[in-house]
Amino acid sequence: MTNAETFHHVHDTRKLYRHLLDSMARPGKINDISVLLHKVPETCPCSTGTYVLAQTLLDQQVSFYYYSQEINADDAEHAIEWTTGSRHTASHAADYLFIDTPPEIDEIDSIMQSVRIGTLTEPEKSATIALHVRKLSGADDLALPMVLRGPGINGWHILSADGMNSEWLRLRSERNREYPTGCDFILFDDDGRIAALPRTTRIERRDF
Amino acid sequence: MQAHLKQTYNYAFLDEGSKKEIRRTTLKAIAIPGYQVPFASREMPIGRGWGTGGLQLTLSLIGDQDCLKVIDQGNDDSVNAVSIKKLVQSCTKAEVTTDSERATIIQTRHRIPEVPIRSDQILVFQVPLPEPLRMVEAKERKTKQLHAEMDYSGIWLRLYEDIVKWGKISIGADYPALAHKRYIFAPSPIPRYDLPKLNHADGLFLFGAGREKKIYAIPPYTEIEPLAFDDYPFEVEHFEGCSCRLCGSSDTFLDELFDEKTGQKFYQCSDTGNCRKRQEKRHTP
Repeated sequence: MTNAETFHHVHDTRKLYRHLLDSMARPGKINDISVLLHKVPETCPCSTGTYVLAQTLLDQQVSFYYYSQEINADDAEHAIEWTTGSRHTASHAADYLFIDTPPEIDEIDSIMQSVRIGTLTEPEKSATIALHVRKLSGADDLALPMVLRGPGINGWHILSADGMNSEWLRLRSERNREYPTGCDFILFDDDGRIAALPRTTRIERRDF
Repeated sequence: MQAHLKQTYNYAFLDEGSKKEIRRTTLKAIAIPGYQVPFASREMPIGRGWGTGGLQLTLSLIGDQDCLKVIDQGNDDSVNAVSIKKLVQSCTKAEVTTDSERATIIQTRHRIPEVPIRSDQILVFQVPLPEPLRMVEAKERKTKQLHAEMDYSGIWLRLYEDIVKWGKISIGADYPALAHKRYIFAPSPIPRYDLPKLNHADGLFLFGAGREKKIYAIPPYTEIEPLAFDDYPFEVEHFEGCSCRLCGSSDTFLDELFDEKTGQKFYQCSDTGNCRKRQEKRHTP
């Protein structure tokens, strides 16, 4: 008995991956995954974005860290473990970090200071942070406007976000100081917009 | 009565766990242009060294909406390209084509199509030897260290020795290049003619080495600089005075063919899909 409308672990993970691939290859480019988010079961204890990303990226070979200030954060953690086979660990050990509600500044600080950035010999042993923001836009009309430059971008690209603390960017540039080590970001909102900031992207704050 | 057992494979042949691992690796590879990310590399129904790396990338990407083109040295009709297309068709509903402009995914061995790759297309390379430093250092652990320290003196010395010995750099295909001013990478044995197409391109380039278990990538709009000296600049192959005997083109990459009986030399487009389109254009006024 399969419900055609539920998130399909073969076809929908592939579709999400293609969007994610496009966003990662073209930093700041917003892809629309709203169709996929509508397929997430209503009983899902985490955000729909976290759910689809976890289903696409996680399995028993990798670990994740889940952060949420919601009361049912533990349920979400377990639900991700049960459905993907991945295990929950501390932020300094995780391969993927899902930040589902905006943390306080000191919390951002402790996550970013401890997040894995790989080594010069093995820069791929670094973490990817999936950040749930309130809203993403391809114009500079939201609270945190960013001008992006680097591989994947023809000249420059504008991305702006609501509900994303600028502390993330400051600590990101601090941790990504020595390329190729660093961590990669995936940003998503509830309306199905998704964008990525790989470590090669240089970000200028627009309002500086 | 004998029951007919029908073996059914997962969609796109690979199991979901393998696809996830390849996808995670590919995303990492894009974040570090030119760096070879290790991956598990599954057993495939074709032998290692026959395009398993490219095939695994293709299978991790492909869906029913996709249109696939597979080329082998520019040729759509070689045995290997046809077998790979058949395998993909047997486990997906994806369309196949020989027209590079219609394809959404192009898997290639040793050529980049003549028509530039668009931003909605992905070019997947089959890579035999992903390590450009292998010709100067045999040990994997050492080459990893050399990449980490960006110690590329060995390969520069090799190029210099070439000039001393031959008066020019003797590497033809698989010419090493520097990605994003950081990693020297092997572009797979594409001719030098194709290498500049990787620089600041619109499309995404993924490289899969199945036998060597490495995936790497060149994202769009990334600086790709072929290794060269100021006084010995990088040169591509040129075909002055030659043209394709089928379509008449003189601005494409040509293969030199030789007739044993008459001893005659003639030239023909290496990109057969593009050549066919040009021929059709020529015949319809």
